Amino acid sequence: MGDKEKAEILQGTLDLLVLKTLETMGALHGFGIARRIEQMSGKALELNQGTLYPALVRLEQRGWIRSNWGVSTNNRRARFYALTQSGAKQLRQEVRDWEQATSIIGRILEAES
Amino acid sequence: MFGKRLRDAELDEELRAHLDMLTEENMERGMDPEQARRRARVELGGTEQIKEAVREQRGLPFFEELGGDVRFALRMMRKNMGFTAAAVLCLMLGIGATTAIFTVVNAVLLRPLEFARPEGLIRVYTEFPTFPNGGLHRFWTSAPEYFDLKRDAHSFSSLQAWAESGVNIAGESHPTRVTAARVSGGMLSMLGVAPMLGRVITDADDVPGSPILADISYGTWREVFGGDPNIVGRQTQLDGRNCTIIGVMPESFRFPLDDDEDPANIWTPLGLNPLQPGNRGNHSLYLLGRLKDGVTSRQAQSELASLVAAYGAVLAPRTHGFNPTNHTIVSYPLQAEVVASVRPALLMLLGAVTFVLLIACVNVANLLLARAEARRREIAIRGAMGAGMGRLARQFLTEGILLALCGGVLGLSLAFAAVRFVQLTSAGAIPRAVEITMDWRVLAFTLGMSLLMGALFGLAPLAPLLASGVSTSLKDAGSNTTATGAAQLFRKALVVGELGMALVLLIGCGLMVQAFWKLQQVHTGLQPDNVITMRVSLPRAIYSDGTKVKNFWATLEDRLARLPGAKSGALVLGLPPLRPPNMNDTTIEGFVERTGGPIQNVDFDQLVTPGYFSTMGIRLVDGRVFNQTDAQGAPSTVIVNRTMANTFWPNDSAVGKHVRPDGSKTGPWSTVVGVVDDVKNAGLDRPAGTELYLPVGQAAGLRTNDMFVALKADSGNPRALTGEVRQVLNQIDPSVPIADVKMMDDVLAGAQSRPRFLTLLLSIFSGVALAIATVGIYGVVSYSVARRTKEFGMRMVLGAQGGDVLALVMRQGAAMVIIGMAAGLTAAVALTRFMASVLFGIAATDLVTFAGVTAALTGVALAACWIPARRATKVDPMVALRYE
Repeated sequence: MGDKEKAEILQGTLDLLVLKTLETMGALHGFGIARRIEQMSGKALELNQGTLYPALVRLEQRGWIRSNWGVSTNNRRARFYALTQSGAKQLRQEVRDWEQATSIIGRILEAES
Repeated sequence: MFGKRLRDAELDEELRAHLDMLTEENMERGMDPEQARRRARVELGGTEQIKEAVREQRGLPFFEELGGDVRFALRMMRKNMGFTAAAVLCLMLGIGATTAIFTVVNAVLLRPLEFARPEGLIRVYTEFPTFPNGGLHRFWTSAPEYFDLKRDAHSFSSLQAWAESGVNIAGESHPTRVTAARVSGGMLSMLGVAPMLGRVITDADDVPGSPILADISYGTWREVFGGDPNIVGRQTQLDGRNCTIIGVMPESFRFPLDDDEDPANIWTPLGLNPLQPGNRGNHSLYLLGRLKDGVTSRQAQSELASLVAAYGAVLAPRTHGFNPTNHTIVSYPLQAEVVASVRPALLMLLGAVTFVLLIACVNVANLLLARAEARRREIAIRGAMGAGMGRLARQFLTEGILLALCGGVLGLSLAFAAVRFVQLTSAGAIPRAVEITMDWRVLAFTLGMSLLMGALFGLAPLAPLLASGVSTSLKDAGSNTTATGAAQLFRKALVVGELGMALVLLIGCGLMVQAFWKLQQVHTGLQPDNVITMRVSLPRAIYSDGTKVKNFWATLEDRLARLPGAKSGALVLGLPPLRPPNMNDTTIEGFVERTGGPIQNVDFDQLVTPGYFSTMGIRLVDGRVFNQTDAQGAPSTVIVNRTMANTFWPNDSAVGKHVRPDGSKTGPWSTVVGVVDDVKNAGLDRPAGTELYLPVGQAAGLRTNDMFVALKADSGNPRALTGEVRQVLNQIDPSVPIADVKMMDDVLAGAQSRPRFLTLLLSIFSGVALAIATVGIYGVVSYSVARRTKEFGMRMVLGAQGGDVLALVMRQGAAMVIIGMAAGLTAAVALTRFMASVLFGIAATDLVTFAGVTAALTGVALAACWIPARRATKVDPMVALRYE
């Protein structure tokens, strides 16, 4: 997969991944979120870490996450993000949509072969 | 602003933290600090880019982004100067015209009058509803009636009266005639305008027999008294009587508001005597009252109606007493009254100019649409780069509003000039014309309109894009696709709209022009060529005696007859074509009044010297005109006009019949010696009414200190006669001034000032609308032809002739024209009825006008299609096919 295509996929699903990460991990700072996503994908996805921050702003604008300054494990001051209730609801909805989409396409592909 | 800096700082810190953590991680992997840091930076990516992306996501503070939009819009405008100029010009015309008319409407209709609490001022009139010809409305009141109302009408905290006349005032060097308003004592304080100097007349000053005091206008103070600093307390002569000036009114003060051309410049006490109020039937006063706090005008009117009923029960009818059947009272708020006659005309103008504005805006929308077509590639690229519909809309909105604001500012300047123009040409056509200035309401209106229009046609180009979606545009640039098709259809629809609106405006203009023309054709009954008129007024104090007055006029008449350069001359009491009616009871011998038929009352009484009829070119229909035998002592003679002859003696010649002009039951009869053609007296657009002429030499009971001189010049320079009359007067009595020197042609023209004004404006609007709409349709067809060159080339290769291509293009153009005309006609039929009140002699749905104007506009529009159509036929097929 070329970089360009990868970027396109991630643009659409980044929100989903961030929400899922925060659901799993509770509160996390930007660096942690990026690392966690890479871990969860088994290193198959190389996240352009820079794209994370605009996505976080977007999610916060929509009220799905909220942020606060805190102290990291290394006693470093960092901004932490956490899921909100509406964010949790949004995550459940998006997971449902995603699973529905993949099952439909899967069915089509199966039928062709 | 602070929030932004804080957020930027926080983001900096956040990114730094991220970088540090990355670096740490790298160092744990074994890199040295420098390498670790470098790798970390690469992994994170450029911090500036991140910050930019975040900022974009967050949405920049409104003004910063707007600034970017504005700068971009300005660049675009500069790049397409031709388009920008066309659009701004259209907007300038539309907004300028609309603002100008709104300024007039605001000043005349909306702005409150310049009195204290003007909404409480009510005009009170009497009416004679049962008089023939629809009854007498908004009529004067007599002094006894005024005193009765003053005593009994409790809705008013104050009820005042006034009467107008001309007086001679002794100025610095020579006497000048000014219009005076004689007001009851409480009037000026009721109006609530403080004098600039001195004080106003009060009730204490309004006692008959007390010394005459006067308030003068600012203009009089400066022009007649040279701005005398000691004006308060200055003694002067008013009609030969001593008078003390007690105050000067402010420059903007005007009362009464009935006549803009000849406003009152001096206010003196009315001098009514409550103990001797005079004849109940002598209706000569105007009434103005102020409502008590908390009383509405409707409540006041019902009180007046119940008073009329109460009076009617007491006094017998036909003694000029109030009674609910024959002699009622009506009241109207003053402001509405002042502008009542002009409101329909102004609203019509406002409607018309709105059309102009709409046409201009639709045209600009069309231009923007055409340019959006050309910019499809640019739009598509921006769409691919992530600009959502919202962002694009904002950009278009900014461009549209910027254009509109440019047009608005220029339009405002145009409006300023236009308002000046209106003031110069309206010349009495509209009341309160002197008050027309631009105030904050006008500026707010212009600004609001510009923004609204800018938003509307700024977003118009997006409409077709919405249909197809932004992303497809990249692939389709240059070829014939649904996006382009939708845009073209939208543009055609806009042109159809333009044509329709232009048609409505042109039809309205056509009707107005015809009405005005019909007014010109009205038979005035006079021949005004080379006739000059002037007013001569005798000071009342000196000429207090009827004999003195008569002698003066006799001497003047004699001298006028021998004036070199004048073919004939005459004196006349009231100058046509617009005079106040007299409505005098006149006894007609042997006339039997029937219910619903004419009563023994004559509309107009006229006093003339024998030379009047030949001077004014009034045709004699029967009998003879006055001559020297009709002098004092000889049997009383009168002349009637044709309407009067037909009214009272329909089956017989009026010559030889007897009347008593004073309406008395006994006494000598006057004999009718002649019947003349009708002369317009109630305005050019109304019937002449009944008129009774009396010879000056015999008018015993009438005291006439004010007469008009009419002279018919021998040759081409009537104005030279003014000097000669001045000389003659100097020989007889130098203290008598001349005033209001006017050519009779101008007097007649003055009576048409409003229709002329309306026709002029409507013509200008229609012309502008026609020009814009024609250019609009030309542009659309032109563009369509340019886009389809390939198609035409193909057709020609396949055997089509030039004529076929022409027909193809013309068919499309004709379709737009036909639909536009249909829409316009429908709208015109619905809308022109609102013009009916300003149209004279022509129906608002005059078929000939409708048909003619439609045909003319169709012709012009088709011609505008034909020019680009012909270009289509010149397409070289080879070139066209290569074009991409």
